[in-house]
Amino acid sequence: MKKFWCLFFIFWPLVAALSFIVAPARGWWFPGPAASPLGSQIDDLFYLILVIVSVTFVLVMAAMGYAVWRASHNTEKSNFTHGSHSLEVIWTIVPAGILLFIALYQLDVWAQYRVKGRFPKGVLTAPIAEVTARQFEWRMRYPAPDRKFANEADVQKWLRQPEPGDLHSVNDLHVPTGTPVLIYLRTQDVQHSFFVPMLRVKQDAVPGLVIPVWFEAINEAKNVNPQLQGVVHEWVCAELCGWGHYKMKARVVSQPAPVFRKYLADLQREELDDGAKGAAPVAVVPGRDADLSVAGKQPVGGQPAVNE
Amino acid sequence: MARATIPVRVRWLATAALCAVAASGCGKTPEAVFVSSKRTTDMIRPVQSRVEQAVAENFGTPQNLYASLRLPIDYGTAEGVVKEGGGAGSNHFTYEWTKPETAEQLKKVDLTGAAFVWDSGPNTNVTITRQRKDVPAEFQVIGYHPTEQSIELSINVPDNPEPGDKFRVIGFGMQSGRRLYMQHCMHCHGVSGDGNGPTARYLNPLPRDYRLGVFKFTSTSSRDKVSREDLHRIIRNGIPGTYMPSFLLLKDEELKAITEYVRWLAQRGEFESRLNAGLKDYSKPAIDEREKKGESRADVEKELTKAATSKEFIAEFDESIESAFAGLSRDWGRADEASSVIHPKSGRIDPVADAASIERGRKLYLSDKTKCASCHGLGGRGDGPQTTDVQKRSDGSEYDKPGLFDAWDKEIKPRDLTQGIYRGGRRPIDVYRRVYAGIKGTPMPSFNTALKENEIWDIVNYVLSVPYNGKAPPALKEAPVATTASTAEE
Ligand code: HEC
Ligand code: HEC
Ligand SMILES: [Cu+2]
Repeated sequence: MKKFWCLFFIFWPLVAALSFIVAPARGWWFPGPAASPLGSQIDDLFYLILVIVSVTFVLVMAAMGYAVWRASHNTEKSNFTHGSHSLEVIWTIVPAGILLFIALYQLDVWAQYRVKGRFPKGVLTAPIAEVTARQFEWRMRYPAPDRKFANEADVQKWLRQPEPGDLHSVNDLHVPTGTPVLIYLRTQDVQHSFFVPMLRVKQDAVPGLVIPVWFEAINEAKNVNPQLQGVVHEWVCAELCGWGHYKMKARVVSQPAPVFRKYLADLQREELDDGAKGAAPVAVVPGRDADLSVAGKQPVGGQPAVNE
Repeated sequence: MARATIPVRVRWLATAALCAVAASGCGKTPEAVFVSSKRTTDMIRPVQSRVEQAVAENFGTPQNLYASLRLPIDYGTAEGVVKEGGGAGSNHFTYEWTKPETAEQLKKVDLTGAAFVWDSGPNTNVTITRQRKDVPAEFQVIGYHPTEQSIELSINVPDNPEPGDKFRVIGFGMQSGRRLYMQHCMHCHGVSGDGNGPTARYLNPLPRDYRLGVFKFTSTSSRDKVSREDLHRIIRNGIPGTYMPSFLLLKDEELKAITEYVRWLAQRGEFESRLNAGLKDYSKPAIDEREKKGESRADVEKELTKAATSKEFIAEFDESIESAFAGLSRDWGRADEASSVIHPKSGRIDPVADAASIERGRKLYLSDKTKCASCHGLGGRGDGPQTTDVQKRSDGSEYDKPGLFDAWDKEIKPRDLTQGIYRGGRRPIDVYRRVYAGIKGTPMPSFNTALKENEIWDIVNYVLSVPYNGKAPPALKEAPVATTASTAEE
């Protein structure tokens, strides 16, 4: 029985070590490579931490297995000892040191992502859109394509008071690729969370706050959807916000700047459509099935007539 | 009765649901059923069952839909010809699709369960005996093998199909429409489309009850039904300001299938209410009325029951079925004709070039000619005096509560125009159509006779300027192009 426990404790670090190596290498359970530069840095941090915890886990399990193995030869009755003072000091200081190292080491990435002063230059005054979460959808408000913001106060004014040239869409955020973009995130009701796994962005939308969130999407040629000429990133709500939470699935489409500008122009044309100039196409859905006109001739149906 | 049967293959779904329920331990899930409307259940028994039977015989059950071919619905139809029959008395043959361009697509569709119709050849008029009566046989596809290009039928054919015999497979679009509807819409709109799904009671406004055949946000004139394009647009974009979500990420063909299914549910409900329309005398309220006037209830019921089994009644009822079908096919067919869509002759007045337009619109909004303010309030906050008056029903009786009510007898508030949320869409043409045709099923009236086209545009400019402190979005400079390509391709 004692041997069993030794093997048991040795078995797990082996499984762990194997999966720590195989899973990232083969992409199991992973959301795929980051589609943004900051996302790659976040991934690097993730892998660093993964290495630290795997090494620690393997070492601890090995030590445990060894201790049990050694003790299994011991036939004496166990007795109480205080243990080792210096060992306790070591296993307190080493993890504390590791944690401190991680805390300091990630500061830079964290600051780039969260500290306004470290945001890429100019994004704060060139917002792509205001994104408003509500139960259970995301609503976009883009500034008019020719709207330039003089300074942050001007942006704040735009956030407080919608403007007639604004453009709107739902569950479909388009952004230019290859350049940092910024959205202002807010919620109309409860707390939601803006989560685009491929871009490694996650930010809670908090009632009463308007939170700037920036990211940069890099399109990889193999992911480009030819119809949209862009990459479609899955976008979900990551805060359990009510019974329809699962419905808050949307998409972020990153497109080359000219395609993005064309998207906005099309959106504007659609939004200002007055139905008179150039009639909109009438049949989005197939016209009435011509076959149906022969229905009268066609004796289909089997049960007795309605009233005998 | 012209129709075809589509049974469901939901067994695996039901099994999955049962397992889920067993795991969570909250009892058995009830089987999906189409429920009758209150007007039907208010009828005396024999009339009620007659109506229910007529609806069931023409529309089937959620598990076994009937595709009534007299309705203007695209059930999903594929035409083909026989390549080689499997012999007399067999149930299989090989085929070729008539339209080669659809052949690739049809490979991916599951045709099992769809209805099957012979259009030529020896099997066209096959009958089977049922309830002591010969009736046309209902063929169904029970096996579909696109790689071998062969089809198996539910009934053996008496004669060997000859090469070149024409046939149609009907209903696969409906099957996918139903599957998607049950997955995405049922929990709000209900199995029957009665707006009474399990989550409906948490919502305000309530999910649409399709059964009146009335839809609010249409591009068609006030006497016309909703068009396919309108439904497609609403389902794709959702209804801002309500719990009706956007289904933008569904594929286009999925949206089309759901649209047809919603149209079918609406027509099913309307069929039922058209049958009921002529039967008011047989309903509980009518009997109550007569009882109040001093007649004995038992006598009245006896008299009505007798009347309801008479030959004349049955003949009349059969006629009402015919005219219900004729009406549905006419009205729903017309909604998709280009001439039903409201298109202003001249474009929108540019509120920047003609700065007085908004002010003219404001005056019209406040005027006695439109009475917009009587509902929407002087400042557009939706608090006009009509919202506190006691209103009358269409039959002249008064509501017991003050306020406005809609066709579904639910309290309704005029929109707060300062919010800038337009449920039917924010394009100027959307707002134009709301004012031109009114909002169907709500007290918001149509103004196409009271106002001239340029007056409506002035009002639209005013309405669009309310959320922006008096500035309206600019007018369109160029011609609109077709909506941007944005269908999700997984
Ligand atoms: C979360 C609940 C919910 C779900 C899910 C939902 N709806 Fe709705 N739907 C609503 C509500 C609420 C309204 C009424 C809004 C109003 O009256 O302004 C509505 C209205 C509609 C309308 C009426 C539009 C009009 O012009 O009158 C249609 C059509 C519709 N829904 C179709 C669908 C379809 C199809 C689905 C599934 C793909 C669906 N809905 C899913 C809540 C829902
Ligand atoms: C009898 C009352 C009544 C009158 C008169 C009336 N409305 Fe309305 N209006 C309503 C109601 C009720 C609604 C909300 C309908 C709904 O549930 O979607 C509404 C909705 C609207 C909407 C919102 C449409 C959308 O897509 O969300 C607009 C815009 C509007 N009305 C403009 C007008 C204008 C302009 C006039 C005058 C020309 C007018 N209304 C007259 C009752 C009225
Ligand atoms: Cu949410």
